[in-house]
Amino acid sequence: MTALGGGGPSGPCRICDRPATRALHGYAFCEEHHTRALHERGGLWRADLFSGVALLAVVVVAVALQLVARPFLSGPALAIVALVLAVVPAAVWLLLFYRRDRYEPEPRSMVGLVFVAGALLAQAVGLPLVRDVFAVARWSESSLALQLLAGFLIVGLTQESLKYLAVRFTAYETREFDEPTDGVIYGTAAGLGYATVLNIDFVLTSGGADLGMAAIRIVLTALAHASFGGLMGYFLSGQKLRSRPAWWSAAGVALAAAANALFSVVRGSVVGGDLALGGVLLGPWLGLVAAALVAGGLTVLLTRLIRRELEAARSAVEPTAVEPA
Amino acid sequence: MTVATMTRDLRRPGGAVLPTLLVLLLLAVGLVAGWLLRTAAESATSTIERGGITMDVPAGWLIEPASGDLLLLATDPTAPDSRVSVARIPAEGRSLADVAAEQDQASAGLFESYRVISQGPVRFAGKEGHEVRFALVDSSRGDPVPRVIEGLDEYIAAGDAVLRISIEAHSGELESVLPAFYRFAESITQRAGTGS
Repeated sequence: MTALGGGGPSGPCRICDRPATRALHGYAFCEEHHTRALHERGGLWRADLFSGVALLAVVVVAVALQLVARPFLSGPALAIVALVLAVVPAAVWLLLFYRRDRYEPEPRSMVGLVFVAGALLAQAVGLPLVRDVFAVARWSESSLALQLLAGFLIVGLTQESLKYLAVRFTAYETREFDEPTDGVIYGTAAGLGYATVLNIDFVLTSGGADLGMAAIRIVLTALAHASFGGLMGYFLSGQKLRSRPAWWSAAGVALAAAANALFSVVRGSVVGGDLALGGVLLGPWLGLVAAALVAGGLTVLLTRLIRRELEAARSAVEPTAVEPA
Repeated sequence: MTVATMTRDLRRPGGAVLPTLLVLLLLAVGLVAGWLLRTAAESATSTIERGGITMDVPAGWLIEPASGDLLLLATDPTAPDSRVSVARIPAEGRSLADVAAEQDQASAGLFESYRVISQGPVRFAGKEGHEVRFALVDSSRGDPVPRVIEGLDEYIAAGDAVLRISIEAHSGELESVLPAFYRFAESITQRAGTGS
């Protein structure tokens, strides 16, 4: 195949291997995938809406189950509920972030591998280190400063470093990791894998108490860890694709760890408070709202970063016609 | 994998080892600092004095009102079912074992499920003491499953009285809260000139 149009890339479409007719950002595309890459997918907002409805459904079902049945869960039933409550929100958030990688959606098998790596590192290293070796919850609750410091130095750095390693030793070395948004997608997958293990552990250790509140907390925790992982992954992309200085990835891990600590403190300390207005205990809800603001704000920031990268790619090279072979 | 992908200049991550080492170094520094933080947090105390007895109470404990023979009642907020207390009991010439036996009898009267697991003389905080390990079932909280509470009473002489330093916690949590309890208990001293 010969590229026309003054240096347009030759070869098949980078997504489907059909003959390329267009080029964008140095990549060859067929007509169909060029159109998809240039424009928001028609169903993107509907898919996002579906994701929102799915998450809401998880919460509503959990709240209804709690209000109507007040189940006393144990054994296999508790394990199944923990698995469903942890995996469904993680899958929904992962799809939501995954759809934003329009130019070249990452291979699902690779995203899945990073997700599993994040979960395995959480189970094998992260949870035992934070909960058993450092026993953070046992000594860090006495002051806000102590919570923040412990949340950053131990919890945040451990979790974000492990997510870094989950991406670094799976997707990072492959040729699929070739765009700035890829780091965000893979970081998000690692974060959601990590969050899934944390959430399963949370439901199991709480014995399935108050499923409604647990479901809200799980949805938020999954979003938060996806955001922290995505933020770390954005720096990882800069390391690989933009030749940033050697400390760049460590700075990303530190920034994500700081956000992690802030989220944990806001959710934990306010939930544990006794704030009441008019006799109604607002503590747990206020904590969840504050945590949602932190996680949501970071998600908006990540979404903008992804959009900025996509627009930069879009404007970098004008679409160029190439003649199919 | 497509030809376009294959031919793209990816800037191979040849220099990716140093960034990874820096991340691991950051983690190591964070964990070491975290360990120091933990050590400092666990040893942070405030000294209080009750009835001529001074004690270093861990900074995080919640002190509750105490009256009568009870000098201190405190809760560790990280283990809400745990409770630490210090009581001064008139010795009236009895041995530590006799005082402990009387207290056990009183507890058995209050809690039908109260059982002494083990007891005997110990060396405690550099003094002769008497230790009683006990367990009871607490069904007073209205939980669907009654809670098993385990505890430890340490008896030491304090002038013409006996101090009973106690901890009780939810079964399975006792061992994890014991280190802080022992540090607290060993800090208890009688102020000079308050022996009676």
